[in-house]
Amino acid sequence: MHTVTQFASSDEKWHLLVKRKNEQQVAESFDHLRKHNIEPVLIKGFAIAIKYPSDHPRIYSDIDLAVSKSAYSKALRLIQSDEQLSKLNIDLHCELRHLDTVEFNSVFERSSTISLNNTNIRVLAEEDHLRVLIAHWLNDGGESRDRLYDIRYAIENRSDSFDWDLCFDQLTPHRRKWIEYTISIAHIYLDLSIKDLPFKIDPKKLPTWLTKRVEMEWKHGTRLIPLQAAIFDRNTIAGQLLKRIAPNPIQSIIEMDGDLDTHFRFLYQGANLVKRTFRSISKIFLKDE
Amino acid sequence: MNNPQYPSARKESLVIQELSDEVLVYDLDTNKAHCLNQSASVVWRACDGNRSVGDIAKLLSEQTGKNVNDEFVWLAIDQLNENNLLSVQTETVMNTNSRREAIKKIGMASMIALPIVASLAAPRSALASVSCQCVTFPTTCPAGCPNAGCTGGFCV
Repeated sequence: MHTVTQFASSDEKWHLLVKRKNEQQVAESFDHLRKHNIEPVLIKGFAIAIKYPSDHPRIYSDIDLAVSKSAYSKALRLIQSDEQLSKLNIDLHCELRHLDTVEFNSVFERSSTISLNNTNIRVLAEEDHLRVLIAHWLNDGGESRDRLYDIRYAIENRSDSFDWDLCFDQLTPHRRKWIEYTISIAHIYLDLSIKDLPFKIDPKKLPTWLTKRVEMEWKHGTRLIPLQAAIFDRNTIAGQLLKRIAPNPIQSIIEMDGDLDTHFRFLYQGANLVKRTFRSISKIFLKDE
Repeated sequence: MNNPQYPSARKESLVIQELSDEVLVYDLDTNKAHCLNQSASVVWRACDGNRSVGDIAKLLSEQTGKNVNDEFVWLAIDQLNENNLLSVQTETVMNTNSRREAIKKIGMASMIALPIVASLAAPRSALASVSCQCVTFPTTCPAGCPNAGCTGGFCV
């Protein structure tokens, strides 16, 4: 029986209950996929929630699972049609998509399992997960201050055996900058300590445009959602179109695997606008995945 | 036995978290969270489909050492019913006035807390931080959306 008492606030009780619910569903998703010989890897969500302190619970509503390319189509069909799986809010990733350049097989070999509700949940090695979390945060255009805590706690609460060389494994110089700049941002805005890191982080080297954009995103507060989710609501579609007219430069650069120090952000934004427009049109009219 | 006069606690599609003197219940079908106080949770646990309301009142009296009457149990059953926590809808014997009277009567005489089944709303911080964005859309919001008021959302 949990030690939280009747004197806990409603918010604390809600967090506790939803945590229990989410953990149960994570375990169920693994159980059901394994029945069909699919071995997923959990990213974000519960996999990072375990690094959060108890007085700052991490909220998540979906279950991000990465599967190999060969298993993706089958897993997607199951999630859409299986009676049990379709009830779970699974966000399926084909390997780690464009957000990681390390071979998925290598990342999978380094993964390990942790026990949850009598099920072994496969999670990435801490080093790989940090890299993925940073890429995801930047790919969302730095729009969520809350999600920046993923990076803070992944670093603050890393194990003693954390290997930074593994984290920077096979990275191009500009992808290494993605990591260093995001750590700088977490240091500036969330007080992440950088003094015990084995490499130098100089917050002064952060491009000014990057911090200004992050601040603007946090002030604005509107999160980018797929157009097909907004299309039936006039107010929402208007806000989403406005947000896209000048695409988020951070997101544009990440989507195009670019350099955050570039002086030609407008080129990335233009290319990204075209790419996203075609993608949205195909999702709305062709019902592509 | 699924006889409404022998109430039975629902077990399917629920996530239950027991606290020291309350029970938290998450309904996966409706994405609603509830908090049952001690009295309500004892009644709920006693609803095994084989006990009548009278039997449950007698059981509570034995367990608590206090005099618990049928009206007390019906107060709990009513709320459990309203919140879809019974496996079969039970026809209430109380209308609004009789419930009010019962609360007054039981409240004054009772040495144990009145049964309460309260809703737990998602904190504002939870709604702001998840990726679930419920907009009006003709689909059902999948499980996991913390916005319990979502009636036709699309989780992204």
